Amino acid sequence: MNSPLISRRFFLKQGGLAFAALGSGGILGPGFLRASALADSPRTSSSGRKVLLCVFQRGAADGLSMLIPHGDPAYYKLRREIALGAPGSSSGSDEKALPLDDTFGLHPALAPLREFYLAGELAVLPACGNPEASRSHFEAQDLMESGVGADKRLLTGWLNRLIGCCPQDQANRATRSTLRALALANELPRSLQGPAPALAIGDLDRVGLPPWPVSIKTDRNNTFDPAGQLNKLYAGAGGDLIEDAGREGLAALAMLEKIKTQNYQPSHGAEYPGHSFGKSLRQVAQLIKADVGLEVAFVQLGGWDTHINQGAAQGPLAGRLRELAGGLSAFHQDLGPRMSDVLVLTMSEFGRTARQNGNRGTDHGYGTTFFALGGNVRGGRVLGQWPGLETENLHEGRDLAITTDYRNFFAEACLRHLGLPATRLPLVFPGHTVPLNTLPGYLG
Amino acid sequence: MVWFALWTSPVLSAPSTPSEEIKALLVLNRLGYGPRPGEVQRVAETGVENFIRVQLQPAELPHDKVELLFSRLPALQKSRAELVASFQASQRARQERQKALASIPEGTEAPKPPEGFRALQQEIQQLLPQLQMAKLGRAVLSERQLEEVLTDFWFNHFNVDARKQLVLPLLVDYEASAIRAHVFGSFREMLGAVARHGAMLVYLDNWRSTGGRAAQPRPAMVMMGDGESDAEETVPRRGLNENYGRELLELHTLGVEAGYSQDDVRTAARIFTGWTIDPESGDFIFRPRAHDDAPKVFMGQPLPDSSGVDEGEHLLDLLATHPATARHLAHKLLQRFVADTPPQDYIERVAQAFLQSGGQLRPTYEAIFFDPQFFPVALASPKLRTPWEFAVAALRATDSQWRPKGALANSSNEVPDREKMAAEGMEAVMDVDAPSRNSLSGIIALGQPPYQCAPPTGFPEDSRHWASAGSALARMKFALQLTGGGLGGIQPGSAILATPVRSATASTQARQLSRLILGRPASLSTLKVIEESLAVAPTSKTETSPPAANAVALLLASPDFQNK
Repeated sequence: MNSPLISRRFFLKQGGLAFAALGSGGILGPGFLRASALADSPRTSSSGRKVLLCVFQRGAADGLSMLIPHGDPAYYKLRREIALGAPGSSSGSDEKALPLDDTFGLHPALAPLREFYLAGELAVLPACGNPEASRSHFEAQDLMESGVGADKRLLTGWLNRLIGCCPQDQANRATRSTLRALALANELPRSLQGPAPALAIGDLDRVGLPPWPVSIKTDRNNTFDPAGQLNKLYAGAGGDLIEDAGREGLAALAMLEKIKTQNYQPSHGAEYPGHSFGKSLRQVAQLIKADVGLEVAFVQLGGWDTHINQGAAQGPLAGRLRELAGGLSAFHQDLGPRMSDVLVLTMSEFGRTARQNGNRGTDHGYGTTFFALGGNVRGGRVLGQWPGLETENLHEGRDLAITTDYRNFFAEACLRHLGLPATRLPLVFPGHTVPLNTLPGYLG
Repeated sequence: MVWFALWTSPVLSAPSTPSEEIKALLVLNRLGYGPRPGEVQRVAETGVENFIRVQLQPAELPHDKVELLFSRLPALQKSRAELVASFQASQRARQERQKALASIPEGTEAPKPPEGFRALQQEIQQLLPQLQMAKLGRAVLSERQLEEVLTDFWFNHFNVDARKQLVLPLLVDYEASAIRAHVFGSFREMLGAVARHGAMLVYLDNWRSTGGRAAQPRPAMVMMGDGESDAEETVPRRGLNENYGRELLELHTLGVEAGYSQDDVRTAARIFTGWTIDPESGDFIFRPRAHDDAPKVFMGQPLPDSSGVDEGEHLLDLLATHPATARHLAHKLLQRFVADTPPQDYIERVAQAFLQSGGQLRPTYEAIFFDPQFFPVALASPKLRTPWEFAVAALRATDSQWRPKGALANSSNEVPDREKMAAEGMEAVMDVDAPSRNSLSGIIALGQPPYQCAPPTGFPEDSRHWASAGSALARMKFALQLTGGGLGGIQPGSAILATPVRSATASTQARQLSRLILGRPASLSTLKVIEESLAVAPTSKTETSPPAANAVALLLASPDFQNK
């Protein structure tokens, strides 16, 4: 007896219902939304496939040490032992903030990013975040990855919803859609969870299925491998959800395995740092260049929760910043001219207290610094609104305030980089109205 | 011949009608986590209806000794107060240690941690893995399958996440006393037990929701977890927190369509102000001074006695008997047991049964399973196994056992003797004391980590949610890993992977094997692939290389096995 197939037709019908369910904070969110249900006309990218890379700094990165407000006098009062010297001061050259303008500088460990700033490819947005987040890492990360304010109910991530309702790049139409969204992580991050196809790859160099439990004599072409037999199992006529999913997954895997075997050499002399963040970025670059249809990539970096002895120019925080900048710098160099199609956004669930604590560190805060890096970025600027560090301007008297909702920062990338129609923004950021006239402005 | 006799002899006795076997497979897959080898025939012979009735009265089922053994996990031995005390102590110790490390001058060697520091940290770190292992073990090995499925269902309905602050040390007691104890009892009692439990009070923030003339909060209430320093959480925030009030109405009882207003949500939240916990013991405490004692109206009804804890109990009474609650619960139960989109009239009948029984759950389940529409609808509505259900079903289908360490460990194909293991006191058993990273990580990689669902909605009951390319690939990997080296200390039953009878054709073997693993013959296309894999020769010439293992892997990975 064959079990009846779980029909796919349901979803094409339900596409309309899914829109309606959103307003009530429906439990499944824009569940079961499929790009095919939306009858899009595909967008055309000007020079090639557009790619969005999100880099999540997990642990609440200290925005005040990333973009240093040396021109704000309160900064030195609040952080006697962990402040970076002002550019014009008598501190040692490697102890000082790298100047961006009269008010702001970059942490010296972010030196490579300053080059991008001066070349007009990096824009900086301080005092950004989720105004409704709690100070719990786990909850705040969840909310930011869900793309909401305080509604903890959504099971889908904002990047998955974006893929689900963003017209596919025309250059991609012919290729499989399964590799549109990839996370370089062992488990699929919240941002990418949802009905639109998205894969998590821990390490591209080791992608693949385990071997047979019992090794067998195979023919010279070695076609009797697990993948081969599984392909036959999932070669069905279509219509069953899990058959379709399996087929997509195996096709994606085959493509990834082919890429894996190519001996990848970074271009333009780029040298990636040896840590896992560097490796992940190298693999993202490799995947972009392999033209598999990648449009959204996700990488994460931990170690930002610097409660104790965070250091200033040196120390644990400086080390993390060096990793971040080193990786992004190599990535940028490796991609070369293709960087004009790539946009990198950095993000963190919240910032840290304006005042240092009793352990020469900082505690959980509110607003923090986000970066936008890419060939088409209108960079060389500090965006948004600086709220100031006087006590009366601090959130709850302790944290840098938030003057830009993080969803507006993300929305600009959706609209102006990936070509999402503005009418679909509420699908990606339910319950939030993006102010189209006052976007941060890093893309135009 | 041994293999053949072990697994096919039931067929040689009086055959059950095919339709009885189909029904048996369905109830094993829906009321439980899937059949073990040969179980479909056994249930068909003793009667499907009989099986259901027995599952509804689990006390009549012998409490499997192996299941008892999991109760010897250290985490499950301690009382709630002990676990909370350990948790708080470990957090404080960790903070002290960090401060100590922060204040040593550079270059000097770090001082040794204080006595018992490592043991304490390890105890807390092992808590969640132990709970996850216990849940897995019960699901795979327990005869009381319906009880396991229901405990999973109701935990999911009243979801909490182990990663939030104090939830972790309260989890054992939450699942055991607030959920499992009531799955065959009264919904109102479960609702009340959940409302008062520290795990829920913390998870939905009600412990710090205040109204009325709240007194100065106690100092030094350590509510750490999640790496927050004590500056964050020593002082509970003042003011109303609507989180629990909202989810109580929307998720736990009435459901979103019931017609209550935002004001009603706020009222519900105000009613539960003062319902909090003692963070040192995890015990429920009602703080009158934190309670909003103004008279309140809920959905048009004034509530009696606004001054005390009974106001909340009255609201729970109201909610537990509301028709919208009945419909909401009926819908979810039918989704779990019958179909992703159950027919409206079926929902109505089950809702009526719930109301007429006064909110008793066993009669509600009876109304589901003995409804004339149960088999017709369920058989016509296949469900996709969730990642968790897939893992458990795979372990059951392969008769997987926890392989004991020490004196009882052996590498031959001997099936471990459960009675012997029980007699030896199970000290040698497996990963009970320190769950293997391999076994749990293989399960967690499937994407549905137990006790770690962040949203209060819990994992969706609509199974279609789980159909993704990533999930499909993860299941294929899992199937190959399980039949390959096993998962840590969990090994498939060796008889399952044994070399099939040589005299039978590959086609016959394929059919037999698929009946063993799937409980029914596989689809023709799947059978063809299985046949092929049984026809190839292994590279090794020794007897201990069963090619059936490859075929079993393919069966577990097949689309046939994913649907139930």
